[in-house]
Amino acid sequence: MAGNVYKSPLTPAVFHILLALSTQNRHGYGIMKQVEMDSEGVVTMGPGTLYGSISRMIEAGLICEAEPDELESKDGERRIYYTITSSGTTLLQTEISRLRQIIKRAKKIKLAGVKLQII
Amino acid sequence: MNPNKQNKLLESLYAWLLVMYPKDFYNRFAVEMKETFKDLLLEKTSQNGNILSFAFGVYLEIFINILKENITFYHMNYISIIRSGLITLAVLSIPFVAMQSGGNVNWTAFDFLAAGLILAFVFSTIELVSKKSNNLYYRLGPIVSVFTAAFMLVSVSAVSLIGSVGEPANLVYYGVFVALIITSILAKFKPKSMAVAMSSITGLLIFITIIAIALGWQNLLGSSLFEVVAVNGFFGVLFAISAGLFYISSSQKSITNKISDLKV
Repeated sequence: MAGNVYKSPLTPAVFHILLALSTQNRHGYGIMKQVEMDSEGVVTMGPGTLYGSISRMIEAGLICEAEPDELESKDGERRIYYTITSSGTTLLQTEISRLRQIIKRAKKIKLAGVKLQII
Repeated sequence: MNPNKQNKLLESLYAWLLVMYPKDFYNRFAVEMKETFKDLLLEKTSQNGNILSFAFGVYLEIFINILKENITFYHMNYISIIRSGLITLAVLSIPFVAMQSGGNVNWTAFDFLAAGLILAFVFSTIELVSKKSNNLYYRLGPIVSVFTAAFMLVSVSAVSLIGSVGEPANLVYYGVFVALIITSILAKFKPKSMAVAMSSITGLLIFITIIAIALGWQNLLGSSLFEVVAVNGFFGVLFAISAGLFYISSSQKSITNKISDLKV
């Protein structure tokens, strides 16, 4: 599976996983919950999609396993936390800039003479 | 059912499904995926949600991703897919040309679609298997079984195997097809277990022959004792050949492993 290259525009799964990991290291279930929260329930991921994406994103160097610290392993369960890499952060920033540009342009569009209401 | 027991059962089913992921993926993520599913079940239980429909939704999602990961794992690239598609089209062009030339062939759009799906499945499996191993027997085993299953399905749907077209006795071969899928999944596509699975299908066809003769299917309109024995014998022998190929490939694998152990 070598040779995974991600570039903007990202798929919703990759974008939301990067976004979820941009604030703190999380395990699989934590990522799923954060994605749900970030997207206000619009994007939901099953374990198959999540771990398939994680596998390819690790391969592409966007995320990696985090060093387990005291706080993360206190429940005594075998949890693997993931962290975003510098390449992942750069790609996320690029994608956010792209989305901002789209929003900026969309705000100028008038549909049937009425300006779009974008919050 | 007790909710704890129910969740344990759903977790076991989930764990069983995960085994179908490619080995590397399984070794890397299976433990985490089980933990995540456990968390999701606990969350649904605490919300008093419909656990069963949720679990089956996850199973479906996992199953689709298993297919995806296996295709990626075995490097079934676009060229392989295009090649399978082109071979399927080439084979389908035969009845199409026959229809245009005014022969007795009269296929409907549904016939083309059904035959196309079956052929695409057969050729994709062959593409997939040919990349999985260099062992000739391991390649031939699934190819023979998939080809036999597809041939059986097409024959029973198009011309019927027992008696005339539409004879309800033919439904038993759809049962054989389902049994083939179930036993292959239970065997997890491992050579030794697949040898047992294919042998059990041969056994099932022998059993069907005995029951068919006892029920007098040879007296059905358009049928005969020869037909009942020959049809079941033909497919039974092909599945037995497939079982033999799987068995040889598993023995060769274990010999290779023993040699590697000796070298170590």
